[in-house]
Amino acid sequence: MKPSVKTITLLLLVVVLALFPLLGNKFHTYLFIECFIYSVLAVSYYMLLGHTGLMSFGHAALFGVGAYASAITLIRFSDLPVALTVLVGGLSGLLCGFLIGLIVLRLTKIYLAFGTLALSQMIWAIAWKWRAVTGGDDGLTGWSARQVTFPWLGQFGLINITFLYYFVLFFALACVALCWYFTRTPFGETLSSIRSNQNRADFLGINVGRARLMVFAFSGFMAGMSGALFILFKKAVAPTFLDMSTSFNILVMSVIGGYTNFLGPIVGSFVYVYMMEYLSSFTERWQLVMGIFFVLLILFYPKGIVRMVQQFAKKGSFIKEKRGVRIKC
Amino acid sequence: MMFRRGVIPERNERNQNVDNQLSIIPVLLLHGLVYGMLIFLVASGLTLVLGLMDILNFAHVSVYMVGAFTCYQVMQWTNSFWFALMVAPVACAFLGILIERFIIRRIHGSGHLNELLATFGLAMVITEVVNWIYGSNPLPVRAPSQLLGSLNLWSDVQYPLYRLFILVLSGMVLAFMFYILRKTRLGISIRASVQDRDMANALGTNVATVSMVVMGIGAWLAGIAGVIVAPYLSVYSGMYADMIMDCFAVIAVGGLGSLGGAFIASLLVGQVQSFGVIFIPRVSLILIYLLMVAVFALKPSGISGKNE
Repeated sequence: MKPSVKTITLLLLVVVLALFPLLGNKFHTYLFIECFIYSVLAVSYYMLLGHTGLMSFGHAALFGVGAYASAITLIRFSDLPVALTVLVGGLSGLLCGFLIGLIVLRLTKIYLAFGTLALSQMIWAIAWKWRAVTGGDDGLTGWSARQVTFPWLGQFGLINITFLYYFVLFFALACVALCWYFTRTPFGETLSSIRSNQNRADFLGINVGRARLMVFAFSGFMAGMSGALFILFKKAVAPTFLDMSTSFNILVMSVIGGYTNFLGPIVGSFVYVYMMEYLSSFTERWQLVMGIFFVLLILFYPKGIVRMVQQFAKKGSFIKEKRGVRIKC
Repeated sequence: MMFRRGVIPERNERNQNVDNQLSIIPVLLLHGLVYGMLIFLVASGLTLVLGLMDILNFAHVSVYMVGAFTCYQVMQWTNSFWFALMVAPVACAFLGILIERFIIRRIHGSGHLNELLATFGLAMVITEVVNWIYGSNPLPVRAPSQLLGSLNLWSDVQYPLYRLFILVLSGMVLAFMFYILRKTRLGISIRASVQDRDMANALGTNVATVSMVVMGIGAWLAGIAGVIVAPYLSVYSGMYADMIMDCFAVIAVGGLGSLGGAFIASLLVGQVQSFGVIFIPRVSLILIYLLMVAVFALKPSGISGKNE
């Protein structure tokens, strides 16, 4: 079988990413770690929003629960391998996603957005108030000195940026690949059918409730993984991980890249992190610039950057084609 | 970040010269009532727009914040609270109409998500602009001198005059609104459009104009809430985050798009906030979300919402 252009590009990309820290640019290595983690998060959100059409406004809950669970494991069990704590984060995200999915099982559209928002705010409030376990407002910290031992490579500290880069890259690639595979399975196709018409899928004999539960759990797993990676990177966890603004940051990332295709959230998270970094070095009002950019994007290119570029490549112009007149008022 | 809660001025800490538990209860009831009315002033616009256009307008609560800051600004210039009470809501109504005309109408029909995101982005921009101009420190607004002090309600229970004023004013505004909705031609158009948008449009109601007017009225109400809240909780950029979840709770519990349900729900949420902070401070924050979740899990249409 001849390798296609896509495969070659993908392999090249992986090689470039693998060699990237060897360039020795600490700043960009650091930012790339953040981008990877956000990519996993945004892709996990894509599984809900873009792929299954479930408009969740409380995705931060899954992310934050993963972060808290792995933080607590890191603190309580100081001799557990770090990779396992990442898995603990993922599994607790899975559980949390399952429970949330169970509660919002029958909700759609705005109701779903509302229900997930309320649930995530509730989890945020619990993290805020339950001082004994979550440390309340102060959050948790205290694993920055952790060492990760590999049987044949030796020991690395979490403060070693290069090591952390590879650690995160490994997990991020694995997660994104798994998500990609997931969307390609027959079950993934089923989920797409739910997005395009839930009632129809129901009539065709698909168990919509079960499928929704499973995708919530799967997405929760991925989000939990990214949360666990994020605390290895940030070395602390706080209730802000769980709150509404984090949920919306995830949304912003997905929308910038475009939530209708798989690549969108990944591109979006890179653009988001870099924009945030550069804008905040130029101006203190970077959130304003970001907000205006976001609104303009929604108004003119709601499908995001990836679609915009694809369209440009196809037609050589950024101008949208005129569609038929919509009659609805 | 925009949704981080501000330094919340504790709503019920003032006026606690009452010592025994029994006499606290009527005061708390009043506190809850005042706060509930305030929430309803904001949430009514939100729920009407939701019923009418099926849009969860995140920018609506920003309009409330803009109202409060306009009040502050007008008082800086003219030093008259009453003038601010006249001017700021009108400014807010214009802002609401602009939002409807240039953002919501443009994007209406291109999917729930885009609508939500556009209004959300707008809320982000407005919050940032307010932060830019006024900073993030709370700004004090003085209540008019006629409304300072407190009133002796019965035996030894004192109640601040200003809160009673809030109660009376919001009551009047709401009565006026119910009059418009129930007794005027505009009200009939609004109710018809809420009930069945396409049908009302087909029967000759200009639904686009009605939507604009509803946004205007909603924004005007939110502006009034913003002005009267200014001397009560002071003006700060975290107001948005403090109000939005309460509003969401109200429209969720009341049923999306139902005004009567929202009224009952806001009184309920006001009481929950008022009693929760005193008696169960540890879980009071969770209580409101728990209420929302319970409603969504058990009866998504709320107290009296239209069914999906």
